[in-house]
Amino acid sequence: MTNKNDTTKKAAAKKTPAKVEPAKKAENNSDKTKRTVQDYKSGVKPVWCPGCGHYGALSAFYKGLVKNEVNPKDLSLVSGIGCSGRFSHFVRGYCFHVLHGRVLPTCQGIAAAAKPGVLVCGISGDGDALAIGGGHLPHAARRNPNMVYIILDNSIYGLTKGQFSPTTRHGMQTATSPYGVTEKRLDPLSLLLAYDASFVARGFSANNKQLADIMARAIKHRGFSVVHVLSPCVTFNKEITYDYLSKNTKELPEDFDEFNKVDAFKYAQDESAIYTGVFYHENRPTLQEYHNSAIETSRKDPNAGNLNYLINTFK
Amino acid sequence: MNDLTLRIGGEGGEGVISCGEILTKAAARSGFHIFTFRTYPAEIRGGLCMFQLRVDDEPVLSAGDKLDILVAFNQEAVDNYADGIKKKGSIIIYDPDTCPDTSKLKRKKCYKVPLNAICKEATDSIRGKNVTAVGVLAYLLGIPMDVAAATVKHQFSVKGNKIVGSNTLALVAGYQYASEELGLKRLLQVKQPDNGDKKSEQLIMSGNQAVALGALAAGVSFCGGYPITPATSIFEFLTKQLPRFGGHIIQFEDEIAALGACLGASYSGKKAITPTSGPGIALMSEMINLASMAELPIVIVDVQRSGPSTGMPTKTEQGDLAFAMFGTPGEAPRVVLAPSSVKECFDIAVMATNIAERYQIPVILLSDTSLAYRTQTVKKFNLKKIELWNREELNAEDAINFQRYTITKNGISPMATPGTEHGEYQATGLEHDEYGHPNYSPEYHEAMHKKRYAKLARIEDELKEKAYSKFRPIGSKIGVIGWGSTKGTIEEAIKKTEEDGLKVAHFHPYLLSPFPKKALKKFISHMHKVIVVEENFTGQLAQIIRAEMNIDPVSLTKCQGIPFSAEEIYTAIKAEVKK
Repeated sequence: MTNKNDTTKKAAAKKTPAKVEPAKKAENNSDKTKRTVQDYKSGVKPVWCPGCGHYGALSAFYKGLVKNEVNPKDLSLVSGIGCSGRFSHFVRGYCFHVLHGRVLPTCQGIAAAAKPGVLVCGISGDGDALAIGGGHLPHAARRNPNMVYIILDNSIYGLTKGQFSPTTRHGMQTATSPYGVTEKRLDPLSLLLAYDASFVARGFSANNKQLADIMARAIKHRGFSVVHVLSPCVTFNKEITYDYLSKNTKELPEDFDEFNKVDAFKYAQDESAIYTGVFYHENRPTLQEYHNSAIETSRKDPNAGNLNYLINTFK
Repeated sequence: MNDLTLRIGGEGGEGVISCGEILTKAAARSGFHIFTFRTYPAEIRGGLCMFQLRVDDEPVLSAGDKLDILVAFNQEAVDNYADGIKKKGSIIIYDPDTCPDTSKLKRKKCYKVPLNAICKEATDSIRGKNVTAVGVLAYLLGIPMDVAAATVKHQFSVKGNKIVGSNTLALVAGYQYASEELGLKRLLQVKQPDNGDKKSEQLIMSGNQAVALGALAAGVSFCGGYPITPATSIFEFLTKQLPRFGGHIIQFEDEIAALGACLGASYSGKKAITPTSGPGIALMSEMINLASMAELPIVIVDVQRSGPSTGMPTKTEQGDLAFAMFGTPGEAPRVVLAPSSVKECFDIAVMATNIAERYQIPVILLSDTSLAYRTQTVKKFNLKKIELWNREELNAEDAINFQRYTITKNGISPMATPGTEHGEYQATGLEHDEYGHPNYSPEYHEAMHKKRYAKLARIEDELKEKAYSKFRPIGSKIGVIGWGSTKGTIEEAIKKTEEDGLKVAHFHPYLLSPFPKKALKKFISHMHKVIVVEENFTGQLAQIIRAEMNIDPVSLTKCQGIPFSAEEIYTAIKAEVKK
């Protein structure tokens, strides 16, 4: 089927030796039960700045996959545009690097259409998820697709070199706010709670143990799991630093009731600390379950799925 | 008389459209060939609205121009449409109670039919007066009472027996009134169709319905959409039917999301479609580029409406051709197809899905308002004859070191979908190598462009005569080229020129991108003059032909929100002959 003797291919291959060693697919043993982080590395080396918070997020994500024993063939990972967009290139699985802000629509198409057992994950940055793609978030939450959505929030546009994002502090000077950001900062956690996302959590990329646990739980949750990750940009954000976050983040109390939305709002809006942990969690039917029940109900009609019958109704 | 054009006009919400629809169905069921055209006001209720029906015992090519029968429900219909009747043999039927001003009706053959009063007497309400009008017209066309009654029953059965009962009374009252008071049957002398076995083989449907059925026949199992006039009825039809066929459909928050989800579904191995119109496809342009770049099969149905911007949402236009073909930042190959009749809406929906799947490329199907809403009688589709093309999937042999974007001569490379062992790969909007890993080298960018564009090279040859329709009488030196919904009207205009002893040829491409240069080159080599007919302002196809074929055609355009009439095209051809 592939045209191995094709001259065009040879020519291209000759001129440009593949710089990237792809993961050795032959070694993928689907029956292997204990996978390690290595099993989820694509072979493409991450290109983020040294010290970028996204490294911690990637490592926690790998660990979440290990914990859930996800087979890479069953992982579908979609990322958007920005520094976070490169995330999918570093993970082994069915990865799709889409347009700026359009991670959620693509994920929902995959979630609805993919074979059963496929794990759908989406990765966005703060610009991707909350600015250009902000309009998709409430609707995805309403539909409750069975998927994980990770928002890597560094409160700055890194890839375009330092413009303010929806979560940049009001008043902060950036490349596009020389007199200070005039907009109020957007609060992703409160929004997600108001949008009725069925699993809402926040982690800090340097608190890797907690973040890995959150990732594992988000993968396990049946429904729309959103993980807001505080992930410092060491190059362009001199305010939201590791130091700042280490001092200001605080894990939710041990006796916190994650089924109580009022409490979740309280902690999300508490300005004395940036709380991390699972804020809210509820079980309700997923998009896929609603679809399956619609298919089941509609197919009870003996004429359902009979194209010839349908065409004859136009006589 | 066997070719009749009739129009029903009235206030939106008055039952004009349902009157036309019932009559159309009853006429088709009695064996007539039909062709309908309708205009809606943009308002939900109110505003002038009309339904035009042309019946014949032969296949009908266009909606007709001048009217044989006008039925006016209100004064506005009299004022606007009375002048559109034929000079000879035409009649106007109006309700004297709702159309008091008869100044426009002077010297015309008019019949006062008190529709409201007849209906009120029969049913104690004037609500069914549109069905009373069906009764009057059914009598005039010679449609048997039992066929008309069965159609009314069918139309209202979902509303319960009581509504069926009162509407049947309204129908019978109209029918009787016409037979007793008008006696027009002999006057019109409608030639009844030869029924034979035509009746059981004939379907009656709209262009939008045919597109939706074609998608089902092609095996489409995912649709993401956002309601937009005039494409909504495709989406609504699929929301009901797709689950019955085991498929998935989601109404999204906007068109970007709708196409984004379709690409996700396509990435997962499903055949996907999204119906939209101008303002929707404008939002989708970046996603179309992604489909091109990531090489994902997808069908986008653009039911064109009058633009630009919000334009005239309920009016027809062929203004999106250049956008469909070229509307992209960067260069992203896509296929553009345009059906020209209801039957072709079905066939080309199948063809679009097939091409998308085989070539892993976005395919845009260009319909338009007049084609979407028009109903036509079509011969029942032969489902057994439908050939389905599928995408090339990962072969176990290639499972080791799988290169999703391996460079091939025809540009097609095998695809794997989530859940398939050893097929993991990266799809991306970034320029990439064979594995899908980002690669910005000059060699790769060029090689990958070549790969993506290589797909277009074979399509004209693969479709052969399915890429266009051609009529070239020996000795013809004048050729008309049109695209999309104007085909029947052009054919009718050419038939009229034959009566004048002229020989005029006609070329109508269904495939617009890649442009079918080989076939068109052959066609124009025989012509002294080429007239390009299209319903837009700037003559988009004429410009493309000028650029691609290096000739200077005559551009005949109409940009009024309404389709060409055969008379207009006929007049233009005659004028060119004289030049």
